[in-house]
Amino acid sequence: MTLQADRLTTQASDTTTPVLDVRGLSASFFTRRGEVRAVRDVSFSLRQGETLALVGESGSGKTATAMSILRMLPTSGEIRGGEILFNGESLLARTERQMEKIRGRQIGLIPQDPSASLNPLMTAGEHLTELLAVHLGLHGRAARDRSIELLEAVGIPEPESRFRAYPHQLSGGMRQRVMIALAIACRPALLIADEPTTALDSTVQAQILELIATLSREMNTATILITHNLGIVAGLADRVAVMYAGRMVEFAPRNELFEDPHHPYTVGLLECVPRVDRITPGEFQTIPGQPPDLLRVEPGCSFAPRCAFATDPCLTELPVLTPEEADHRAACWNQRSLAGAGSSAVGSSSTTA
Amino acid sequence: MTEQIAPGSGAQNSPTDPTAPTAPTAPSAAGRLGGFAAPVAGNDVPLVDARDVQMHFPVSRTTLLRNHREVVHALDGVSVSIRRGETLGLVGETGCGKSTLGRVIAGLYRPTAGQVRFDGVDIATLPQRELRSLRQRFQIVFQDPFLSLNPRMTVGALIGEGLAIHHIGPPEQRGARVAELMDLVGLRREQVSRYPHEFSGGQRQRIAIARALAPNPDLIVLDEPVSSLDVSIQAQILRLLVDLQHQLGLTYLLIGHDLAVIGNMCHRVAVMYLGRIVEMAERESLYRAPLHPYTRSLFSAAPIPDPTIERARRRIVLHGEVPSPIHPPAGCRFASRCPVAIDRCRAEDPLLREVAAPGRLPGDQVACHRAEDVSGGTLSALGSDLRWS
Repeated sequence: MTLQADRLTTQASDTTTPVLDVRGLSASFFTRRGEVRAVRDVSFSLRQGETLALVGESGSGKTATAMSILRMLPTSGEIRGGEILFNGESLLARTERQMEKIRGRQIGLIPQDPSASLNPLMTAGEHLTELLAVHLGLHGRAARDRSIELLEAVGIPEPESRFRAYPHQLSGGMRQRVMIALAIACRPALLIADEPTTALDSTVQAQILELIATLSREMNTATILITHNLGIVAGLADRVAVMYAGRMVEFAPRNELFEDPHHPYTVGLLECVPRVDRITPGEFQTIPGQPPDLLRVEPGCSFAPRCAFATDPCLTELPVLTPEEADHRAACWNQRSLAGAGSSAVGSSSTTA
Repeated sequence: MTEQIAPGSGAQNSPTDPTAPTAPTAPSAAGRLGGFAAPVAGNDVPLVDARDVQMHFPVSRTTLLRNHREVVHALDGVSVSIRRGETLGLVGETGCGKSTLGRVIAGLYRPTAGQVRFDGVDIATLPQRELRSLRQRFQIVFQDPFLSLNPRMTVGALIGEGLAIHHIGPPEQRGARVAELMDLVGLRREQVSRYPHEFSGGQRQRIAIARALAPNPDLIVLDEPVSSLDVSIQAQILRLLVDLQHQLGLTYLLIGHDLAVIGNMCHRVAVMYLGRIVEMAERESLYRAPLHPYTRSLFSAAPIPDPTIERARRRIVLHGEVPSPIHPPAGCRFASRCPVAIDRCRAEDPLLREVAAPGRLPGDQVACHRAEDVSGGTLSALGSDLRWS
């Protein structure tokens, strides 16, 4: 990384207020079949320099949460309640024009698919210089030099020649590096990485993750990492929020989540990830059943129909994250009896079929 | 929606106590075969025997003045055999040729050179009509069940289509066979007249599997069958595939990129890079003592869901990009990115060979000039994070 550290320091200076404070956020999509409650009562906060992983499977609400923060939900989506404070100020109270100044400048986004995010008719350099002109008022030589510096900072070899390259002339990994350069160009206080390596090969994935980790550390950015891959969480996150059916079901510091998960869904998820360092031929832990239909929100815990520990209250009463204010919280009525019960009781073993 | 699959298949599995935590089985746990059905014995002729398969695709690029005719070298001299009843894994990154090889073996592409013997018959040169009648014996399941199932056909029609095409059984009994197949893959019989869009990704993949099973094949090519599925659903489908293999004596060619999935599913694994097999070995050997620097870099890149292990790892970093398959480099194709390449690697194409090294079994092959040095552990660039023997 060739950029001077001082040039990369983020705009947020106050270390006491969280960079991001999400309180009771709910968002829905309105479809022909009815209201899909994609995000339900999600709360978390994020300090400067911290990386929070939002983990969950498709439909768990992790991307919808991030898009709500950016106020970039598709037209069928709507924020239904809650508050989002960015550096202490409400994002929900901003006008669309004000949001345009925040996106890309104070909040950077690294999307899942760089090919879908870059304009095929613009060179890497044009993407960068346009962004620098709009947000920082840099033009001409200054914008060009800064762009090349950024390309170099994200590890693109021969940045002067890549400056003139069109997206189709770059590999998937290089395109994602260009996206990262765009996301960090204005030294944002908050960086949102939405499955940043899902479209990439594994050897490239490792490099990109390393780059994101290095940059957010150097810039002391608050980072939200959205992923379904628990291996990536283990490597990058400081804290982890596990989402299921639109709700946050567990929130914990990284090591605690892996060493002592409190929610049966987290336990099950950790069990069913195959590990390259623990080969168990022909044996697979599964979570039986399927995620619920978000069109029909049942009372009680959404995971109850799949949960080996479900008891009567689980079916009727919605569990909230407890203990309140603790570093490690889980939304489960039976988390205390779960503790120490032995993790493999949750996932059903392959031999019991 | 519990997953009741394959009654009776449990007998071949090693019973485990469901209350005990899963035993950490390190790759070094020698000879562990628990949970696997041994490949069917009694017939030594491999079910599939592909020799020197070459698959070149012509491409043309039009520049201002000229039309360039060029060739993509998707497969260059690939030889692989699949034993009856085993699962052979095929791993590699985008563009390495693994899906092309799967399609050649499934009879969907005719290779530009080489032989593909299926149960002794060379399907690479077999006349179209004879190939068609043989085709019911090898089926394929694709990665994306959203694209591979005709949205206008009901589940029953999708599963029964192969029976009609291959004239299997009297038409009036096909309904019963479809119902049986639905039981087998864990679909409910009353779902028979539903359409694919009414199902989730995992359920659709069950439909695709039932469809492949319908003509009673010997071999199923599984092309990234769980890559588009969520982790919890992925495990359900993989377990189904293992149970079906036990029950029906199937042979699988499993194409994938996730070494953890491949390791849990396969008896043997072939690693591909730019149209070539660079390493092919028994699962135990490959996961205990991988010898090709590319194989090691793949292991090194696989994230492990344990913060203590994951944060202490020292990854092998590959520089540069995969060379173009239109102009593959001379010498070893991996040399341009290999952290331990020497001059010889850039000049001389390494052949697949057996290397006597700790942890390797007879028949394990690797195509690397430096395999002995890799095995000796003297190459600091490969001083890997995972503990090899």
